[in-house]
Amino acid sequence: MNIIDVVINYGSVMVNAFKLTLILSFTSFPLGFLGGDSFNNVEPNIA
Amino acid sequence: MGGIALITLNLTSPRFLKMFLRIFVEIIRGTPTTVQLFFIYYALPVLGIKLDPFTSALPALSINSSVYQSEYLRTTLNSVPRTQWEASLSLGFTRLGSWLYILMPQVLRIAIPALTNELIYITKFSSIAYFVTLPELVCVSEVIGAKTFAYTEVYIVVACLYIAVAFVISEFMEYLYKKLSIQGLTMM
Repeated sequence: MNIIDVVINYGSVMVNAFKLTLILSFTSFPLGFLGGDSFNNVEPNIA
Repeated sequence: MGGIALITLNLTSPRFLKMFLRIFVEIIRGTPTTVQLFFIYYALPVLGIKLDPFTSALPALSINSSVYQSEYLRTTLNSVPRTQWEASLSLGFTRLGSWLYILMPQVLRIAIPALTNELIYITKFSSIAYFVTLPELVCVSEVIGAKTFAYTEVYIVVACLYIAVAFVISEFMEYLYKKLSIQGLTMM
């Protein structure tokens, strides 16, 4: 079985899994961004 | 919206709350993502909170990424001259207003390369969701590999997919960085 066979036979399964991977990462990032923003100490040191 | 609410909380928070956030950052940064994921998936049910694989992986990755992103933002905040903060306060901005309208646009612009790294990292780290049986790319490829014994071919395809995503993210963020950069202010 070569790469072309893998893509032809299991392409749709892999695309579904790929979508799940993208959903997971592209949801986690903005959530993390909002969280990270809130953890940030936004008070600079004013002498 | 949750982030905005939390920023407000942080801006007005007393010292002990800031210390608590600092301890939280150190704990999350000091433990592996896998441990955090296993904690959410296997330890929280003991406390009565049962989550499915996706809803376990999402907070694990988000919380982990948020801590790293907070450190990136903290570093870039230091690169903005503090006179910006002083000037905005003297012009009558509140602390929240100064952050949202004066400092944040500058900080985000500078932080884009670091955030690009983080976005690529999180895409790759999403593969650890395989450990809690989430049928994502690596999990599915393992199943296909076990069925066909064509591990080499399957993992070449998987690697190509990850590279493609990383490339698209990298190019998009580079475009964003150039688009948002101010002429004469940046090195590149």
